[in-house]
Amino acid sequence: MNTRFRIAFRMLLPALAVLAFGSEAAASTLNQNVSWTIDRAGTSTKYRVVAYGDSIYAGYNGSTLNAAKYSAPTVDAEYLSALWNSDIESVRRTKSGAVASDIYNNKIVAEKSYMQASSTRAVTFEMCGNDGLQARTAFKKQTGTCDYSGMNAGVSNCKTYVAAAMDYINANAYAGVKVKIISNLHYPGYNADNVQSSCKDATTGATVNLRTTFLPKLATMNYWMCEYARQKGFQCTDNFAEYMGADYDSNGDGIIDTDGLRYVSGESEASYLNRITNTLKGTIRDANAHFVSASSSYDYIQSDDTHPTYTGGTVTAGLFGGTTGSGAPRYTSFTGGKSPIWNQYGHERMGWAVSTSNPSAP
Amino acid sequence: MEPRRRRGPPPPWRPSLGYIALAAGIAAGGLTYLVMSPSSPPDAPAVTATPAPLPAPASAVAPDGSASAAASGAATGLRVVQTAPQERAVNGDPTADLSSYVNPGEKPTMKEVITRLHQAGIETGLGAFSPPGTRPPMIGIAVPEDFVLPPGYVRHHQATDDGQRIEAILMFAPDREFFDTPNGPVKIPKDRVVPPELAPPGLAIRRVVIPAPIASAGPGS
Repeated sequence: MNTRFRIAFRMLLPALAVLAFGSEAAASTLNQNVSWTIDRAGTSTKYRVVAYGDSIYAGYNGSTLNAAKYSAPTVDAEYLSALWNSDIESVRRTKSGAVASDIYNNKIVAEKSYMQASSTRAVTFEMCGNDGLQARTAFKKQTGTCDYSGMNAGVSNCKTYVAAAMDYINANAYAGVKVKIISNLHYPGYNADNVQSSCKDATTGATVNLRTTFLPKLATMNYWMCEYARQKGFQCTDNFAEYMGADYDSNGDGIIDTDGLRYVSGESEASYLNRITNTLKGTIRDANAHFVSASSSYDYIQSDDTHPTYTGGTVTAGLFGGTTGSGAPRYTSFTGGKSPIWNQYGHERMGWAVSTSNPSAP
Repeated sequence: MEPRRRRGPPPPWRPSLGYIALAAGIAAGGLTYLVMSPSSPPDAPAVTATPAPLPAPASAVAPDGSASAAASGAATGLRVVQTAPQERAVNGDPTADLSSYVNPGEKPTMKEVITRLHQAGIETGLGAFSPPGTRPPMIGIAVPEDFVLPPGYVRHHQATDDGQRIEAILMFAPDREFFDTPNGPVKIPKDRVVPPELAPPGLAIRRVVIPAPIASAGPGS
């Protein structure tokens, strides 16, 4: 084979692969795996936290090559390091762009060995965000009569694979695991979605507001993530409440907005949906301005209007592979269980919220 | 004679229309062959897009796999050898992803990847992401942390995509009306960013500057 033909063939392969085998799902995802150890001074005891998920737990930052070092699971590892006075290995097995079934099959199941190590003490996962994003993208492009089946399928798939993931983790994680946690979804683009659809509802003949249409679907996903968690021995980190509600009482109902939006253990789906889409809808705000007080707000969302902000630098994770590394914790103690920046970045907020489920001892 | 070197930045990552057309032709030919191939069983099931199969009932599997292994051993009469679970290396993920479709040496930015996926009609996965810069940081008047804000104003904090803090800007509080005593209601900008003429007294007027990207880790790099 001459050189010119070999070069041309190599350039042709990607297009061939996409077109001939229809692997669009594979071509449009990106594995971003990281193993980062919080190396605490004065101890050599090490425990592990395993996180499975998509671009959220990956620490996606709009790069094909790197990701946030301190995405939420690694923020949680820092809290655990102080709480247990130990080194904590934060293992993140993530695939950006992956839908729930992909994360279940190719991360949680195919990479179960990570949670089977005897050092593992916590397992956490998140999924379904891409099922929602894809359904939203497809719906926005619709013309003619609105077809809601794509969104409903996204909700259905989410419920199926969340339940399956919990069952699988329960059956396969190391027996000494002390806590299992699922993180639910914030609503990216809450403000941008406050527009009318191009399609028209079959019943009313009118266009529909995208946000009003999507919110109940997202809320249904979030409800079942927390409800399945309750049923299956998981803890639920309610990121919707943590991101979308203010940290003060903005409507004078006597309840801090974040607390009011949070899933209540054991409540019915109807109760939760009514609270989110009706009673307290006025307290929901785009996370691009998360109010920590009436006079101070933080943008929790990156410039893609989707992914959480972060601090603490980046690590290689993407086209050129992932990172295995270690470093000293940024904070070695946490007054009141909160770092000084717990509410200032999206990933810091999520990581803190995950940490509130941490057991006191390994 | 030295090889001629290209001047200026490398060309942007984009597909060759010629190659895509050729690939489409080959793919179509391949599909035609598969469909028309006489070796295919006539009653072969059609390929449909169904969710990946769910696992066997979880109760049959112990954390270390011993229960299922023991059950299997009992059924077959084979001796089961327990081994420690093998972990994939950090880069040992065999599932295909974007990296399988990028030529060696190429480093497409995420914006280029998303654009290319859209051009190919793919709006799933990364193709469902909005590209970086969809909602860029807002530029406004810098408001130092020690400046006491009058009621109705907000100190808004932003960050760059590579994790750098942007100095806080001054904004109006949401859902509030502002009045200028002699002139009535004050029109608030839609983005709530306070313009210099509506800044509170005592605040030095200075616009924030977005930090330059960190060279080694900039998003889109």
